[in-house]
Amino acid sequence: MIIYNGRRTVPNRPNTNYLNNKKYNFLTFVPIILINQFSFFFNLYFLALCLIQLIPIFQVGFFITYVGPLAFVLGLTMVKEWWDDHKRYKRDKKYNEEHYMTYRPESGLFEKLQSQYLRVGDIVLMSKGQRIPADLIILATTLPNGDIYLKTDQLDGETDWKVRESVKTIQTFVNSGNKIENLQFEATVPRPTNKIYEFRAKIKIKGADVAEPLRLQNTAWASTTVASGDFFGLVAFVGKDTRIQMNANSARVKFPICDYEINNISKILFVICIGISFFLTALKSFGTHWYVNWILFLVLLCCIIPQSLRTNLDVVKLIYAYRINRDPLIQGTICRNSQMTEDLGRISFLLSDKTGTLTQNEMIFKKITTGLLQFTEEEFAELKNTIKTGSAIAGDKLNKKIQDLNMLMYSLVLCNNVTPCFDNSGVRFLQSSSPDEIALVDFAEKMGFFMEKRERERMFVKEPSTGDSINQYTILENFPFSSARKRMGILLRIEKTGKLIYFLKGADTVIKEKVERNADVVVEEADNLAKEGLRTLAFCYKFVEEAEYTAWKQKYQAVTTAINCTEEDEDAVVSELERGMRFIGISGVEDLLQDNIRETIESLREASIKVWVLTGDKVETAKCIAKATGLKHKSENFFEMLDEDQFRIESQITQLAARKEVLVIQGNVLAKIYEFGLERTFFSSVSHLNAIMFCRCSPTQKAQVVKSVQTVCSGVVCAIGKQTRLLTR
Amino acid sequence: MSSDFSILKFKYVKDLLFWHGRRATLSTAYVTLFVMHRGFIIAMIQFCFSLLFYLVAMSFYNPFLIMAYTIVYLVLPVIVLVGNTSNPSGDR
Repeated sequence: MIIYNGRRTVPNRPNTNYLNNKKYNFLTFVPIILINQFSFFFNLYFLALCLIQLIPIFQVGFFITYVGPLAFVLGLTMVKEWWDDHKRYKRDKKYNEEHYMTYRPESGLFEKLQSQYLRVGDIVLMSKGQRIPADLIILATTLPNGDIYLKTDQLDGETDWKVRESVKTIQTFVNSGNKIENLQFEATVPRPTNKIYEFRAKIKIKGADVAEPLRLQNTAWASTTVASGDFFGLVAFVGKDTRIQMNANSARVKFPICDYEINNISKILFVICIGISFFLTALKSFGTHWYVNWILFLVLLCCIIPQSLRTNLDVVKLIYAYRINRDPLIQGTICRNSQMTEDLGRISFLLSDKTGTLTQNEMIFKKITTGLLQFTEEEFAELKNTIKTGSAIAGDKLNKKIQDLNMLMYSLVLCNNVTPCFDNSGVRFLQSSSPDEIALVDFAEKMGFFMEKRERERMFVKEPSTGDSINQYTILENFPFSSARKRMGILLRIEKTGKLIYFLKGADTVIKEKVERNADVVVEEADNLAKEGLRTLAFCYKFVEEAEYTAWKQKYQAVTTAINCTEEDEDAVVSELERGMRFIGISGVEDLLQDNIRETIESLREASIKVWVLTGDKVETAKCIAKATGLKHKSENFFEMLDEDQFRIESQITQLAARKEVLVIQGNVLAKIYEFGLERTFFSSVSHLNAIMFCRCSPTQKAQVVKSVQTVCSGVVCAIGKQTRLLTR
Repeated sequence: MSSDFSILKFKYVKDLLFWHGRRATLSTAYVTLFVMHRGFIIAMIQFCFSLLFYLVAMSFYNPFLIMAYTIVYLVLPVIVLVGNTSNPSGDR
């Protein structure tokens, strides 16, 4: 779809941003509820009873005594459903009637417009604290720096602020005094999908010869909140096409395991009821119309089947949901689905994420190593002195080791996406979407490399070598971290010398491919740090020639603005820049475990609940965590599956069925298991193991494992992730 | 957000599962058994009545009383069964 300025779109999209999450409307309310309720055996049976009572020959007692309870039960359900729907309607109304300053072409001004009248192609002025009404492309910010912060907790549950940027060319357009409404542009956006972390589009403004690519960092999805910064946004998706609505439609209804069991029991009771009434009829001796007697007895004995059981159980579940919400010992717990409270008591498998769930997600910088030198926490003061004295010597006289150490410090303070901010009371704090990076920059500051200011295109850093003067670095390219690429790169021009330098940091397995020499040192050092349970990041750099950069830039622009540019194509071009790099060092950051984890895990073990941990960390880190949290007892051993060979995998799976150890399996081996189709045998043979560590797992693999455990293993499965929690069967 | 519960610390899992979860399961079990037991008793009385009185297909109970019984009088014992907490939040 192409969006032109002035609200024109090709193909024409007249739908507005009207939200309607109601399940029923006035006409469909009664029929849908009745159909849903009668799909349960209970209600169907009693409905049949009522209908039978209409036939005079079968009448026992008064008709109303059969209709009464049924109507009562159905009435209660209808009231509950109506109440839920009404709450949805009120929430929709609140969002629909919120006002936003929108540009109206008719009057040429920005006027207040309700959210429900927004259309694709509108330009909205968003200010701090407002909820974003529709999926927006960030055109330009009102301040010249070009970035804003969003709070995405309604969308994905993450509480840290996300940084987003405006489109470069449009930002310069606005900064030079032009009004955004005079901008003529042509934006090409893809079809609506439900993928929150994917967006590839492009925008071309009049007067520019080439289109600019739009990525995830230029978007603001609906129902996120603007944390700081005001900006102009272009409405790209409205109503049902927004990311949040596309994800909401795929919610399915879950019932606790009890409901199925009760349904089965009621069928058995029905059979018993038939049996008893048949017995009575038989005693009466089969005269004419013996079946009439049979049905009469059936009606009389209908109390065997508990009609109001479901209503009573709903009351029980509501009481427990209320109790969970109000319990003072587990403050802040929210029960979103009252149906599942009783499943909590029947869990067999607990699949847990590691970062943020088992750990506190607060990083402490512990160790740093350059391969030749290593500094632990106690030696940091010594490190500071070394750097200080080393930087007093200029140029080539510098010892090689000290030079490497210096470069490592530079990479810590320059290769990141951290911005120093000031909160309301003027206190300085570091803002980033990754607590790892904050720990690294904090450490660099302690060593004397202080980040003064960071703008979209420039960084200002104070270094020990230059005393109090501030060095400026221009950011030419910034490749942010992603779980697919597993690295983060930044290309800078040092304003003092005019040279170009490219810093890269990432997982050691990725960095070892990029360095010229010492590839094995990278892995060895990272493993050493990982054995102590630290999270490792490898750093490398290289100086880039101007000519090399201009040639590469042309290629990059051509690829990113091509119509069918995929992430792999972009990655291939970026990798071309990352050749022949020089390894500098590895950082080790500790992620503290949450308090009382050992006791919790021990209680879970005693209750025969199997705890399986899925993490993206290395094998050594995972093993360390297993020992530290109590997942592995002193008497148990590790059983490792690190080999990708098919026969080895199969033999190991058959071995596992008989053993009782802690399994450690790597993500690539897991991928191979799925590839060979062995997942059923794998999960059925490991389902007796108390603890499993799945290492180097990607987020899609984690979802895969949860699904497989649900289908293959018997028992209730519970999955815990970043500050939220799921319950599945 | 599609999660069923949200908690702030991992150690709350212990409380959630072992205290609330277990009590919820037990309460559900008690209530189900109670309701089925009541149903059986009513049906058995009716059964005996019909058996002894020459297999007449007549309701033993006043139909209105039965209706009132199921609707009104039985909600209370359920609430009492579940609502009764001798030890609300202590000594877990």
